[in-house]
Amino acid sequence: MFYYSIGNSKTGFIKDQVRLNPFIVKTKMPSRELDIQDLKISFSTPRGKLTAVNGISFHLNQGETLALVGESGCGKTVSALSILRLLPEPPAEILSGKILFSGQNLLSLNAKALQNLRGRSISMIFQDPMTSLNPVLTIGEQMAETLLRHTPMSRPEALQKSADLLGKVEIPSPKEKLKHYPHQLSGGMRQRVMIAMALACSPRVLIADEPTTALDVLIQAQILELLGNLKRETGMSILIITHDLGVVAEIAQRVLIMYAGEIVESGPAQALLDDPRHPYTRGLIASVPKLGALKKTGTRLEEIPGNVPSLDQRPSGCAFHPRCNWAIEKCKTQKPPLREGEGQRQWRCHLEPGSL
Amino acid sequence: MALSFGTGIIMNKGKGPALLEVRDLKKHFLPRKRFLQEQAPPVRAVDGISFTLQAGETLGLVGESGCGKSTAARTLLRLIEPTSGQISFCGKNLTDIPETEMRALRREMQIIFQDPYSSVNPARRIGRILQEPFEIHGFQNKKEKTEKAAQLLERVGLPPEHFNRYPHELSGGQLQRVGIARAIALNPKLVVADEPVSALDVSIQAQIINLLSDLKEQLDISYLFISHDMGVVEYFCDRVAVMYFGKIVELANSEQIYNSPQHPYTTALLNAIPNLESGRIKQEAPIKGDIPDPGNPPQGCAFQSRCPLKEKQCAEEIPALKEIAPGHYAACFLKQ
Repeated sequence: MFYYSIGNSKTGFIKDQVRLNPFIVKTKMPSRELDIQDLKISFSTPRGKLTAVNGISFHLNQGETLALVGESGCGKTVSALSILRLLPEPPAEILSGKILFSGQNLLSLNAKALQNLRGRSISMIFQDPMTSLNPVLTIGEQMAETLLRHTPMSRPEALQKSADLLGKVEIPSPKEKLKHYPHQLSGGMRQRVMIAMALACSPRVLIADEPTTALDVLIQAQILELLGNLKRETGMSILIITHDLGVVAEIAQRVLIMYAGEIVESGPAQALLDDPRHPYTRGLIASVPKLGALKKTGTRLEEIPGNVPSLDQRPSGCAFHPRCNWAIEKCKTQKPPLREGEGQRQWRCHLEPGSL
Repeated sequence: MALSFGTGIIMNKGKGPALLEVRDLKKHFLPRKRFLQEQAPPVRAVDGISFTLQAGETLGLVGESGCGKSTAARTLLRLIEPTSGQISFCGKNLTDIPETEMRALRREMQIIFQDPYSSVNPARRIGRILQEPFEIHGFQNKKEKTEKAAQLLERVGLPPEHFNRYPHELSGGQLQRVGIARAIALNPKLVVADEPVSALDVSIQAQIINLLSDLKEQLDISYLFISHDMGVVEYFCDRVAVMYFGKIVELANSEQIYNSPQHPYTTALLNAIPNLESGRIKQEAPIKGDIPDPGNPPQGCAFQSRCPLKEKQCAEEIPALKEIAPGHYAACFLKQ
């Protein structure tokens, strides 16, 4: 009763209970929802076997929002799809590594066990809501499908729950929307439907692959706010994949920067944005025009020269060296070491810290 | 000396004749009539916009998808025919000249598209793509054409070996450089850049923006720069027009737009830009709602359904674009 008097919402109650109970705070290290170790993925192509993801390791803590950032072709989507084993195998092949979800290696599960997991414990939302919703089924039919598959609900119950979920993602008149087809909704609404579907079985982990890339800025802001609110309510963990550092600044607690199949830098979001340690991260941040910071009097934007390397032309040594303004001889031949800094900062670079 | 007629205004303040002057431009699309049904009302994609573009100036046109910014660009180049309105370019009225004359004028006004892959012929080599503008506009000498195309490649920073490559062999950023090269081939006075960096990787966007700035300096080009990215627009544009639902709702130089936005829609757009420095601390919640259904437009101000400051008048009348400070125009009752 005492706790209820502090916060009236359910979330407030939990949060305050944690805050008031020093025992929980002190003993509980953040537990890892997902732990990915040395994941290596390749694709068989006419040009031979190409390595898309080259031995990455990272973890997702409970209740955390982790952003995986990179440009097209860096392997971020492939990594995310591999977690739920959604990659077509072949041509894709997971060469090595472990994907641990509550102690279980997802790579050793059979198809049936994976089906039970998808949408129930780990859900995913995709970039383009139009191509990931079924155009010939109504919203209600599609939403009920997940619930009927994973829970013992009856059809009317599932539809009722679907309407509740649509209400939760702030879709106006949810009952009516159940009868609509995807093309009758706007892009932002469709993405809300996708989120509602992903949340249907209260998953512990949500993987969001570029969830706002196809949307306008105002709608993007709405969706990001919604994801943040839902996370606070449900306590789920989010792995968000994006190329947009603005999205990172907006919702992520921790960031992984990927380049050419490898994680080149990781750390807490704000620290990483304020003080990037890897030349690539620094370049990415500098090439975004900041509001009010630049005057048009002849200042050029700082650019990263060159192009994103394609899968079959990844450079030797540090993959970023052909585009790096600080590259030294060593960078061309040797893989850079993993450096560690205070506050969970990690990066891979030959340069001594502080030389950027 | 702002003249006002209807919803349009001329904004030409004694700087000599403008390069481009658009007056009350409209483009309405009629939905296909279905059998035994009444003709649906037209979709007013561009609904009476007016602006001027001075020589050497860069005007940004911003707004969400579906606001009519791309239709406006295509209409004023007469790639699609306007429903009504006047477009005068270098003193010539484009709306009533025949197609043959229009074609000659197109040397002076070019466009760069958003998606570089879909805007070039995939079956042609880069060199051939770059020679085409010269062929259309009467250069027949083969050697001269090849030379000019090679010069263009160099000018946009591509290595000469790309001359014999096919589009699929180039990356998005490289191919966008080809699109730019093609647009500047005939030394145009005006280049319309329709979201030229939106389809590109973050690390490539800055390269393309810098290239466009350099070309502006070197070739004295005026740009109409269409974008939804407020950050890029502030960096690149001298003046900015904000479009919403087919109309310009605010128009001013970029300092005015960014430092003292007057229309609530502009304010919302600026608030929605994530700020890398201040991080997750947001001053205001994002505005709710979506753009109205173009098939069923609201009465009164189109922004009323999302506007945090809505008043009674907004639901009844459409606010006109009026000058509220020198050179600063806004279409909002609250500011007039």
